[in-house]
Amino acid sequence: MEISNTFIYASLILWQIGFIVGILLKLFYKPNEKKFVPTAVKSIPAVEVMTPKVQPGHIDVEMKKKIALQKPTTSSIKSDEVIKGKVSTQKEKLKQLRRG
Amino acid sequence: MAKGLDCGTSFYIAATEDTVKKQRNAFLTVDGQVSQVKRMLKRQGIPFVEKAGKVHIVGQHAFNYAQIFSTSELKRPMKSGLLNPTEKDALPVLNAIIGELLGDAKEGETCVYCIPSKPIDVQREVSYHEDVLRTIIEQYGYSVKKIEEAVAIGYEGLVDTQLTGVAISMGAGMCNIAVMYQGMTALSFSVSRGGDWVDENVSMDTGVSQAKVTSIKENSNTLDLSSANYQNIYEEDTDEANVLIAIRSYYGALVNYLLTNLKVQFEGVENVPNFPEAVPIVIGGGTSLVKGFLDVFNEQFDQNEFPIPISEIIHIEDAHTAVARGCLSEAQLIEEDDEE
Repeated sequence: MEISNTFIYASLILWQIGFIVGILLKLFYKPNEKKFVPTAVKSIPAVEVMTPKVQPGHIDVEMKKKIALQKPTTSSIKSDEVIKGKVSTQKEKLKQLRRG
Repeated sequence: MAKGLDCGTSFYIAATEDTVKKQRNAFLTVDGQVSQVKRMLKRQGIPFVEKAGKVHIVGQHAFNYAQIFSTSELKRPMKSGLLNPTEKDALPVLNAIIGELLGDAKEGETCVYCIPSKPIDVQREVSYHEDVLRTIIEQYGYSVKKIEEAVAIGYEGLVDTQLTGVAISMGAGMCNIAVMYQGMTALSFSVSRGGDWVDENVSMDTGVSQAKVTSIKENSNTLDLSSANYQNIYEEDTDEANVLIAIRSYYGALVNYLLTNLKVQFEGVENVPNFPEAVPIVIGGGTSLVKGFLDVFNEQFDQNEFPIPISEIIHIEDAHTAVARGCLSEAQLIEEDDEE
């Protein structure tokens, strides 16, 4: 009988404490304004940027060609026309021009 | 002894200080047993070349045969100013022609040959053509140098204006143009139209074979493109008159094409010189030999449209050999420099 009375008193006290704490919290506790942002952020894919590149010019390389001469087996060719006599050219004037 | 060689589509011409040699650049393959054909040609004194079991008649004889026997196909080692890619037997024939015109070199002899400028209207490179000719000429022992065909015309026709002006070489396969200033080439190019283009089109329009058209163009006494004579021909209304009228029309179109492209090229190139004073246009080459050519050229030329002030239009003396003579001058100067 004594044990059950003690249990009842303790239970009442605990309820009263809880009740008072609840009233106090409601009166004085203000919740924090800060919001928690989820850490998992959507990643935006990178955009490819066309970097200005200097187009290198082409380099010409000398080509070593092997040319088959294809000599005729026999040839009896004679020139169609032969003009004999001094051939006039502008060589002397060209020479003067080149030598200033 | 220095030598100049004009490697033309229609003629190869070699010049030394005392001789000019010409060889028509064409051949005709003769069917039949080789030994029999050779015997027959030797008996008749007809020049030929034998290679790989084939016998080819070369030069003027081949040209004459092609006119007489219309079934015979006249072959050309060169086309549009360059080696003919479709002609398999071209190289031995060219080799024989060059060998006959130049002969073997004596010690230290120089040969200057001409090459076309890069064509603007066909996708062809000049370098292979250039290398083949160089290799053939070197094989005869020459020290070989090259110059552009139009520049060779300039060396003959622009010396009195300090190598300043416009030089035009009108050949069978192409026309070459160089704009020169004080001996420097400011602009050079070629177009793949020339005398052959005129002949082809006249042949198609009139139904006369191309070899016949070429022959009329080269030999006809009545062919005169000057405007006064043109009217008389028109009134005759004969078959030959039709050919002559067509030749005149296509000459006009050729000159127009040339001048229009010269204008476009000149306007499109950076760093072209300004010509404060009027300069001459000098014209050479076999296609310009036809009587009355300058009349047609003057008809097509319009100073207001042309980008350079022009003082006069000159048809160079002995236009057929002008390129070879220009090459010869260059070869002689190289030899003199070497001796000094």
